[in-house]
Amino acid sequence: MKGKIKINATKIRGMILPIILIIIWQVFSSVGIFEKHLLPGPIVVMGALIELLKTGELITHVLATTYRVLSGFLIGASIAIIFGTLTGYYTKAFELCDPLIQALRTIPSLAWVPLFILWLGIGESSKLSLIAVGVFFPVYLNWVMGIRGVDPKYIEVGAMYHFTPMETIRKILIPATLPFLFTGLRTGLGLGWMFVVAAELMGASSGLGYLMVLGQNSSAPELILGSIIMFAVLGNITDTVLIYIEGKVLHWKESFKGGENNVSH
Amino acid sequence: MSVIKVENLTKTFGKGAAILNNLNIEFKEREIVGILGTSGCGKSTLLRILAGLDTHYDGEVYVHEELHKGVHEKIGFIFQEPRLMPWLTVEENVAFGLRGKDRLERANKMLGIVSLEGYSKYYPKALSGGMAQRVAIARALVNSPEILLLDEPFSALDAFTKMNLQELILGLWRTEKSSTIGIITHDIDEALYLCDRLIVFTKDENQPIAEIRVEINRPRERGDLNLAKLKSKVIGLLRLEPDWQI
Repeated sequence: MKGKIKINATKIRGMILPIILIIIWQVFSSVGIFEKHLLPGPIVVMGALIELLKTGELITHVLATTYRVLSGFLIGASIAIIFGTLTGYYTKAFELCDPLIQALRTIPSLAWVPLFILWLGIGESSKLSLIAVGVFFPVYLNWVMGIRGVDPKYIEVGAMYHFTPMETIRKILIPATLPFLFTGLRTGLGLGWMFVVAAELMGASSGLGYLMVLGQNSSAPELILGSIIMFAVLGNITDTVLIYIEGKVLHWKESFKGGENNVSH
Repeated sequence: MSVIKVENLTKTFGKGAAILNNLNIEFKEREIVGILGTSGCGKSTLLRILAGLDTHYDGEVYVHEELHKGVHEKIGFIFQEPRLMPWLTVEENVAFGLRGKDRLERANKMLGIVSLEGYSKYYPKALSGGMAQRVAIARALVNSPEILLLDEPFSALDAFTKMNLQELILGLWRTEKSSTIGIITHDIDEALYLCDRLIVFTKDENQPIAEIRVEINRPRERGDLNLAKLKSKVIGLLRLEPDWQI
């Protein structure tokens, strides 16, 4: 019980500053220090969001953006995991591919935009590719680093039972590397949200990025601010979901404090 | 009949001097053999070669009179640390190397033998050091290996847990859960209490290996006078007197 009260107190403390800032923002807007056509107050922004929600437009845009992020994330993360498992396990594959991947990694992912548009057009595929590229690198790097860093003592236990390479990967390497995977997935997902903005700014007919361009072109800053708020909310929700899954999957980890399945006696 | 026989075994790391030089040893059926030596003498390397975990050596290793290199299904190995997979429950850890439908059933049966039947669903993080080592013993024995090799298995445990697990090993040997045992230890008392024969890695270049037979009937008394006499003999062979002066 005591613990719960403490957590709530911490949460409340964390909310004090944002609430004060919002109040100042609203007061400054109402008084006229912030010009309405540049920075409308939070009430106006929320009003715009509620208006969009009523017409159903907000849902359409949110769904379009979320769909892009999640699809790109799935594609990028899957390729990273499959590819990373191979290069992580087989040293020759690692020596062959890793220098190339490290070189490609140094290219800012946004630099691919013109090429993707040229190759794939301005439609969904170029957007998903861009997000997938953004997600790939952090997931791949963490995954490979994790696999290569697995304690050989565990591998020896498997060796005593004549484990095949597949069994070693499935029963030892993958579970032992899951903590690294989650670090990679969370970074990757964050980048996914970053890249969806870039993807939608470069031309889209739906999505929160499109809403921002619309706000810019129609001089409606409340649309831009509303989209920014939605990005923050969505990014937070997906990250929380990942943290929740991480807690469930990694409950066996000694250092993980969120696990509920701890057995103690 | 010899269960494990090593002939002319030589092992070098890199380009350095040989850590094992032309070694010949033999484990006989139903024998508990202790391997003693100061650290760095090559005893762990020897055991890893016997277990098949190290295959880079010169010489021959015979298992049941057949030349063999690599892991052998009749050999079980217990590491110095429990090496339990932290993401698996106790029963899953014991069943780690098992295949087939009845794997968990077999694992739980084995857990009963090491007196951990109530802990099958626990995760390793909830176990004490002694309990974790017992799970590791169960994991090594669930395959019913004929030969059990132990690499300083109790060195990290407190004296009481250690004695307890020594009795467990003897019990397993008595009930023929494992028939031939090779155990590395740097605890002379432990070696004398458990073993029929000790292979001592001495520091004498002319006679690098010495053998001591422990011909005292079981159950042995830990404070047995004859064991104490053998102990001073082992200490003499190991030349444990310090080679520095203050």
